[in-house]
Amino acid sequence: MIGAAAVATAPSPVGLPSPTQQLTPSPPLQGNIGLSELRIPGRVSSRQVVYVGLDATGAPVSVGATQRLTLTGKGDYSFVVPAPLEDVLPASGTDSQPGFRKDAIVWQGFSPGRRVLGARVKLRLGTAAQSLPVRVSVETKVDGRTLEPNERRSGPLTVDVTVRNVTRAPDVVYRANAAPAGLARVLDSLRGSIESGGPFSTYTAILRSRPVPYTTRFEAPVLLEGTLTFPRGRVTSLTVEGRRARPGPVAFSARLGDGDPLRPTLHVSGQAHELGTPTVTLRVRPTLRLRALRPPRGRTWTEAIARGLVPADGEKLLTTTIATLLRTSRARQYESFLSNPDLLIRAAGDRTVYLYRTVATVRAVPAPAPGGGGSDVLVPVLASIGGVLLAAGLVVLWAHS
Amino acid sequence: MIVPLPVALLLAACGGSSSSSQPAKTITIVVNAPLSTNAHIGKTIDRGVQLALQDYSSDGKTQIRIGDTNYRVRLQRLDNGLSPARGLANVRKAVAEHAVAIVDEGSGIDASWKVAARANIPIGIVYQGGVGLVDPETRRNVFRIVPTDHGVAYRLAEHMIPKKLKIALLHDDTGYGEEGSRALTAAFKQNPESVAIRLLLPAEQTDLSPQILRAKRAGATALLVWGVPSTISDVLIAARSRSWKVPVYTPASGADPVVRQELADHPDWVDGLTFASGRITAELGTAPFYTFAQKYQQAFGPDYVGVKTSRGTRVTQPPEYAMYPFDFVNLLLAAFQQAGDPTNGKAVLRALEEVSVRGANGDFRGFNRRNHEGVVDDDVYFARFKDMTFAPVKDDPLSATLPAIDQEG
Repeated sequence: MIGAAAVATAPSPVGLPSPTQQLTPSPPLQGNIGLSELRIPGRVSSRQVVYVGLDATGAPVSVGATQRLTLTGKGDYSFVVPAPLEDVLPASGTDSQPGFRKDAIVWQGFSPGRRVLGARVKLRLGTAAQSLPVRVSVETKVDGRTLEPNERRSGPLTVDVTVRNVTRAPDVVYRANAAPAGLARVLDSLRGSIESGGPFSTYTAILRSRPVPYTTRFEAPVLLEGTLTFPRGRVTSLTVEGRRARPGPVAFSARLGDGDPLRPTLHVSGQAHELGTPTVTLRVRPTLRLRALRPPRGRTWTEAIARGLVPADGEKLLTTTIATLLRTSRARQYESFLSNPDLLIRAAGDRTVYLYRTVATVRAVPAPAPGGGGSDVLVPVLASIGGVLLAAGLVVLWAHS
Repeated sequence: MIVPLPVALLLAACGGSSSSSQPAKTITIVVNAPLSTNAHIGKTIDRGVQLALQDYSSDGKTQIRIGDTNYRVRLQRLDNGLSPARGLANVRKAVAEHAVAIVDEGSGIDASWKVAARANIPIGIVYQGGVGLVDPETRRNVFRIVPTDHGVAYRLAEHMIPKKLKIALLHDDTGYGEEGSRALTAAFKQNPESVAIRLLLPAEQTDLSPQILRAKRAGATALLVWGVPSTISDVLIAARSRSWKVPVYTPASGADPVVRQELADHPDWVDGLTFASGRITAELGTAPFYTFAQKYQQAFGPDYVGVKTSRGTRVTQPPEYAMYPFDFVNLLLAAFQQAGDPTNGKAVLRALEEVSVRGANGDFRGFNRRNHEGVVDDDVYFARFKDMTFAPVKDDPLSATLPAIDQEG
């Protein structure tokens, strides 16, 4: 809260929300952190792929992930990555073997300058699914009735695929009139950090009026690419959003959030011939590259304000700045589904891609076979998504509102 | 969970009699180690165990408290004579006596683990590093704190291959040598061009000149010898007596006092001998290890190697191999505490996969569900002898960060 007296006398910088703050405890996933010391010799980058198995209705039935941590620096490392774990296996290309304790991936060893630590994990569905960025709903009707799992029917077909961005979280922020030039510098600095991949700064604003607090919700904007696939020859007279389409997979993409709808729906119809459950695949990526980081005109916000290319509306710009900082914070959280032990948060420190795929009537992914057999469930998911996207017969871009 | 053992259990032990009127129950920890043949191995293991229990001992009795119950710890020493059959017989005896844990040198584990597993008794191997002795999937009751042959072999390969050496891989016909040969074969599998020749050395044969000459004629520019200490000293004698200054690399057995004792008349022949072993100190520095070494020396006196430096000072052996049983017993005590009952074998086995303790060298030690090895491969370092003492090498990233340990006095 801002002191009113201070504002009235001499405007002084007040802190803006930090892109490194967390509006929700998870993600990153929580687990058991009381297992080991935290020691890392330098910087750590995390790259991960989260695999989500969906049932015929789009509900998640399994969640797994592959995380690759790259340590740069010479020295001992010892840390845990907490998560609701069912199993842990080494990922291909890892320089060391992950340890597995109750709700913790354990890493310990020596880095001669660079070490890649890779783990494949199977997560507890109930807990992990709550931290996924989108929920999927698939409604397949043949002849006006819902197509049940393991069922095959013929007749008029409709399929509605709805993807909902569920990352919104509330925070108390404030409205006020602020100095536009300072806010422009904040947005430019934030953009600089994101483009360079470096650490974030501390951001402040000069207020010219008494701040009025209010609560609103901020989402992590995500980029979505998806495909709806029917078995060959099972659907004819295909139409997508009312337009005739060639037979084949229906590809679609959208930005969810950052001013675009959070819950778009894809509507497909046609004629089904002994059709079973269609397959939905989604590739979801949080994005830090928000629209507001670039001014409507001019190369930078600072230039745009200085040259009068955009209105110097201090109240509107403050709202935009706060929303941008907190959307960045939310996106950064979802970039780190499994946590990164590095205490220095950098814009490019974490990257996460979420891959969703219908696994038909399978209710849960079976436990990996002892001795390293766990990849056969997860890897084909990625391979088939790539293949299907390439083969897509029609691309639908959801309209931006 | 990290269990701050000395405080938790020590307070419990000291306060045990005042808050619990029940007489202490007795639990037995068995040391299964060579106490006659190669007695120094068994002695070192036994001393490491004793040292770990020392904080809970007074008047010759060791007592701990877990929850509301006091337990008197009985240490049962059984001699395996380095014989697998005797090792197995000892484990049967341990089971019959309802032991709660076995600290084992490693001989006979392939047979004895099953006997202990049926009684849910954890076994902690603290000397042998053979591949296959430990397997969390099939041998859930077997744990190990000592560098593995696999780790030592891969680190040796990683260290030697970039030097473009033509390496003669030599191993003796002891169990130790055979296990090492298997590990070396796997480690050098991808780089056959680095191997000049592979030779088997009879451990009973003292003159190894024929084998060393074969290695030389095969174009070897380095010898990697995996064998018992006497084999290593015999290789050095055979090479150096012919003025062949070929670099010699070994696993940890190269640091055994026997090697230096047998070459006491030719200390320069030991110079340059490089061995791979588990790091003695952590990144934290030498303080934790020196604290442990001081405690060891106060309890048992210094371990003199039996040789002197060129300055005439007596050389001592750092108590490296006592660290491993020391750390295992501390993990065991932490697991007892977490399990709540040291006689509940299943709970203790589960707890052993979850607890960590600060080890004698300052590193955290612990096992997990996927790995029952307490020393990770990354922790294998290299040291080189000069003037009968050794120091970490400078041409390896890990070793270069480690300080030399004082060995004179």
